[in-house]
Amino acid sequence: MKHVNTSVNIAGVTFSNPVIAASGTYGFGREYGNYVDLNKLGGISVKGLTLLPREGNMPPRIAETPSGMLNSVGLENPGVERFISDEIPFLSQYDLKTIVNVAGNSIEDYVNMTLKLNETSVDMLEINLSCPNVKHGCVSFGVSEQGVYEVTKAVKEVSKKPVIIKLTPNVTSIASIAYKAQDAGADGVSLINTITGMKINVKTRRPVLYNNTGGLSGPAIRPIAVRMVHEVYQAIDIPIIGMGGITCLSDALEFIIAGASAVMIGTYNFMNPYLCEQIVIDLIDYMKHNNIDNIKEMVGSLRLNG
Amino acid sequence: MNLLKSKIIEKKMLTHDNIRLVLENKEIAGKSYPGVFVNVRCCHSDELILRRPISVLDAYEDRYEIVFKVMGKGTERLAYFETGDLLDVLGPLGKGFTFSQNYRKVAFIGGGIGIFPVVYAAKQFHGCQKDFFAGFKTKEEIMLMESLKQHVDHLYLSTDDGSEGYPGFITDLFMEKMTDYDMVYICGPAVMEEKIVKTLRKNKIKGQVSLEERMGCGIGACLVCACKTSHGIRHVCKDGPVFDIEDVFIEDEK
Repeated sequence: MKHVNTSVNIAGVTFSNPVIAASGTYGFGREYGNYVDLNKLGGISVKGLTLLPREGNMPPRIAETPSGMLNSVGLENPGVERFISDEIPFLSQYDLKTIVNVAGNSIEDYVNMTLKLNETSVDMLEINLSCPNVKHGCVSFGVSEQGVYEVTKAVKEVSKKPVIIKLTPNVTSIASIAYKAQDAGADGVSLINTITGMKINVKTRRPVLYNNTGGLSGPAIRPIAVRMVHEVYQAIDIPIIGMGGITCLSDALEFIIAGASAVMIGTYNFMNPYLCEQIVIDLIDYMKHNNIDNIKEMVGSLRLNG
Repeated sequence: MNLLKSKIIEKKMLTHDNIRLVLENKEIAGKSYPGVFVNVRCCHSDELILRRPISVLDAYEDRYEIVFKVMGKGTERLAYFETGDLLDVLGPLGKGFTFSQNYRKVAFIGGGIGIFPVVYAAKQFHGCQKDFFAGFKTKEEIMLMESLKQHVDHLYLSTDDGSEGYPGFITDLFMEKMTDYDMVYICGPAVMEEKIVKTLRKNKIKGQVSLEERMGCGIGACLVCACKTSHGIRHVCKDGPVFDIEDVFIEDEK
């Protein structure tokens, strides 16, 4: 049987394939290890970490919406120290690459966490400038060009690991924001995080989520995400990891054709916990049947009309 | 690597909006015990992207049973499936009730659609006195009681509107009859659970309660079904749904 090359290199890190579990949907990989062979995934971006442990928001933290869902988990996590002591040894057993999603209240937080993670075996940092469910930090940096520039610059100055910036779609021009991240030295960008939304219980006239608003994810946001990857691909030269409502290989290929070097699979893991591994299997089949030797041939291969 | 498929062997209306399904899947049936749940895909399009967690009512040989109340978009879709259809079901998930042969006297308390896991427990747990307390809103919503009688020593029934059994809440009837139980198993609306949990704690009676919270993944990864416990934040899908009464409904007492 013909061999196809699914590996992708992003900022010096070689992923065996372009399928990565998205932050916040896959925990630290343990739970999904019961359903998939984690070795088969290209990588995992772990649950967003903060410097200190966080309890997250009050429930309800989830509301289903047409072809999507709102969440307002609010970065519940054990803190970076416990991640290092408890979770890295678990993830190190597997071939997949570990991306650490880093969420801070302040530039100092991002820098301090980067310094701690420098001394570990993780492969890459994903700087979270886009979580919409916390009062401080994250998206409040991510919505301004200056905020993105300052955090990226500060992290890059101290980081021994490749740094990608996770972008929010809740901006006027995601391409300008991505350009600023590149300008500040980012090694790549990942997009999109969730779109801020609200669902109202008409009987009580209250928002369904305790936090009032939440982040919309799932197939509902996919066309927006694909369009944004397309715009960002035209604006920058550093690699893009695309995500937003991927449910199957075909969805993943949309992102790759639009310009993503790799994709992240998020919300739909809840419906199908086997999904990440299934997409890898389907990708190999697809490449064999379509005589694509190397997945890189497809990245940014979009042919615009007119 | 195929998702677990469960074949619908039998479909029956228990009340005007509660549907009981007998499903065939050896693995799920084999691993089920009282208090665990399954996560069911309700439609094959991507309009609804979350599974619905439904507790297991019974399991034997290669079959298991669930009951769901038609109350929203997901369960409306689920109600369309007929005998012979294949359902996409993950499970069993979560941690259920535990039993000890040392118990001499136990109680089961179920309210409304919360009765299913405790009915399962009452059928499975043997070798002691078993009192069952079941509360429903009205006579029309009473279900599963006839078949339960043979499995318990006393069956206490209440309806909120007094149309059958004790008139009023099952919590009040339980307070009247409460005795030196070694263990009490509870599942029902949050207000009912809270009242019973706090009463039991005050009386130093042990208990286990099944909590409900909106879920995403159902396996402990997405963290949406959070609840405060005496050990910190826990997640209903993975750490529960069954918790020791010592650990939950702790807010007002500290």
